Amino acid sequence: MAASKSWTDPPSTRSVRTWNRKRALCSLLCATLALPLFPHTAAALPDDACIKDERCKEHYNKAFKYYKEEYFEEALGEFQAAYSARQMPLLLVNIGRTLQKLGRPKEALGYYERFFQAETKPDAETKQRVTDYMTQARALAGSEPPKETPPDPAVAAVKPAVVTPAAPPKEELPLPGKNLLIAGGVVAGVGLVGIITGAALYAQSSSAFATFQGTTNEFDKLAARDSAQKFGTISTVSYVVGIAGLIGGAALLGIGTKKVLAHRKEAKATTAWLLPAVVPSTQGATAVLVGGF
Amino acid sequence: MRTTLRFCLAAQLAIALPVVLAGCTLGQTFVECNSDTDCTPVNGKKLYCSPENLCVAGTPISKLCTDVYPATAPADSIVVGALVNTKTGSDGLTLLAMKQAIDEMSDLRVQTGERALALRVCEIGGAEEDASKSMRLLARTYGAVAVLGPSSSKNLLAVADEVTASGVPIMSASASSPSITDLPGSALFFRVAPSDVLQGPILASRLQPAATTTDTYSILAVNDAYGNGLQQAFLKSYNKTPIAAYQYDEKSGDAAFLATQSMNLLKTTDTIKQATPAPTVLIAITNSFTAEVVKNLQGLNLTTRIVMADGAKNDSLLALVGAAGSAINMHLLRITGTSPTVDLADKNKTGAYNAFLTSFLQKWKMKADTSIYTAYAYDATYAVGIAISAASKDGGSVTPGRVSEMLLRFNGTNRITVGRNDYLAAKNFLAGSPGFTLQGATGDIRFTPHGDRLGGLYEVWGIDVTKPAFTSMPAN
Repeated sequence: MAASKSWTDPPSTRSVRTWNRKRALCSLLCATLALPLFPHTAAALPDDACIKDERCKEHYNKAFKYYKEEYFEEALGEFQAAYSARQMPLLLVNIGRTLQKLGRPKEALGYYERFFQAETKPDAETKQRVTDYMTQARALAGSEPPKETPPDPAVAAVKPAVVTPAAPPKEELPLPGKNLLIAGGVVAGVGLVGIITGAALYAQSSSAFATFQGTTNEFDKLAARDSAQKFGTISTVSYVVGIAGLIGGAALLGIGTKKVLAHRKEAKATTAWLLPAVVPSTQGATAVLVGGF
Repeated sequence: MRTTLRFCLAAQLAIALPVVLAGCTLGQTFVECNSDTDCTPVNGKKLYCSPENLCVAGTPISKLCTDVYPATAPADSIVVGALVNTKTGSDGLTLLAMKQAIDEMSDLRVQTGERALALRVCEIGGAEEDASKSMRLLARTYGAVAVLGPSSSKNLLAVADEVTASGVPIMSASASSPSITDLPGSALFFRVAPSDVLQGPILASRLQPAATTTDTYSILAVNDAYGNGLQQAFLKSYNKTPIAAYQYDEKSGDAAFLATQSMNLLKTTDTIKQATPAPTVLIAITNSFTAEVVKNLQGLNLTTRIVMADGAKNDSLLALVGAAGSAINMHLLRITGTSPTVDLADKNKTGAYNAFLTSFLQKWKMKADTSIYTAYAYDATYAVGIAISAASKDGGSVTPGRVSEMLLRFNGTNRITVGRNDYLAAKNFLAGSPGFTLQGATGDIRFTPHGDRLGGLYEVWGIDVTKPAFTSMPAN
């Protein structure tokens, strides 16, 4: 499923750094087999801005329905649409949870992290729950197939849980630096146009200046002088804008490229090694993969 | 640290590159001079330093057309331009005649609730280019609806392109070159001076008939449109080849240029004086340099008669008159000439010429009859003024095109006399009728569709060294 732009923004630099630090020490990737589904939380929030927004509410209700029926692809689309309508942090958890159901734990992790970035002070229960989801997602993100996931109570009420092995993690996280590359290209393009315009205007200015120098007719001379000065000034401005654009664009392209390369390197390193383990969990039995870099 | 360094480098690059790229335009300098001496002549022609520090041909435009007459003219006055050469030419009286006519007409216009007339005066004697520059200023900057002058055919031809481009009609009092008739366009180049096509035969009549005479002649002519035009008209009428033909220049310029020109003229006149055998007649077609030419020719064989034309009949020639019995007076007595003339005979008993002489004397305390072109300028100004008033009758807008249109109506059989008395009647008559003949101080004024005067009065003039004054006899 193609990711829509509205919800695939790359994680902030800060979160990436934090992630890297944690990873540098030691990573615990947990796969939880039985956890309650989160969407009911949103439904339980009458003051939720999403509920007040007709469009968000409609998408949310559809999403919840699809989720319960385990039409996760459709549910994901609706959650994303709801989030597009209203940027409620809890919707990020729903999207993450749905992605996790679709076997895309790495992407799910990204949304859980974004939730914590957006919701700096979640209530204790929510915080714990999302933390557990992250543990699961990290576990699933490893190469080992996930253990059987107990059905979500909300889903189980409608349909018996079907344990689906997690799909191999796909690298569909938003590409960090992609927007910078686009912006850099546009800015550099504008710069190039500025320089070309400047050169063309300079040619006009030079032509007028040649006329200015070559005539002794006062009327022609004054007209040529005014023309040369006008085109010369605009030419200089175009050059300045052009060069600034080129340098700015190059800088953006450089930063963007650097980010992309770093991200790719990071993605490779993420699957370095994993070991299975079992640890007790507040939500029940938890299969744990211990990884190191 | 590295980031800061990179940023600094990028910033330096951002500043330096545009400067380098734009350096070529920034390097363009538009200051060429601070004074005339900073300007290098081009093709031997002096350049002048303008207030914008540019080396330009001709007097800088900021110094042209600066005079407005009357100085107290209301801001909404209808502007009539005037191209005059009082510096090196002899347009002093001409300009006074224009001013007199403007005053007379403006007074009447204001009395009848119409906009006053204002004369925007452009001195064009400073440099060769001044005529065309001034014409452009008058047409495009000062909004002149018609222009009076210039006096010389050379300058009239010089402004022809601008006249055609702007559509502002011009009315010359004395430009008589036949080549003006050939200028493109119609109803733009008006002149109250008759074409030299008419003067050529008059000048030829000063020699014995070519078929029977034993006279020989040489011809000296100013090398410009007037000199060449009249020379051609003469040669066309007089079917005999001259012994020799000489030309000289009368161009405007700075002192050094004029000195060189005078030296060249002196060489030419010396050649004429030394020619053997001496011609029995010397045809001398001169203009502004008349006095210099005549002075230079003082040693010419005493048996040689000098026949001159209208360009020579001016105050500078009379100023050469010396003490009784002096050699210069003897020299002057052998000079005769032809010229368009004024209505001395008062053919239609209107008294127009004498009325003009009287009013001119009263107003300026000077005599107008020292140059016939004073009366021509008066008539020219009235013709334009009447056309302007007719164009604006009944609230019509005064445009150059309307003025041209009205000037073309000077061709009917009805008659109106120039001057204050008939001005308002002339306006109404012209606006409402197919046309009339203006009885001017210089005779009947009617125009061809191109703008030439139809017909003209001519005289044979001489010099009375006892007064001194010009003598005059009707030639046609």
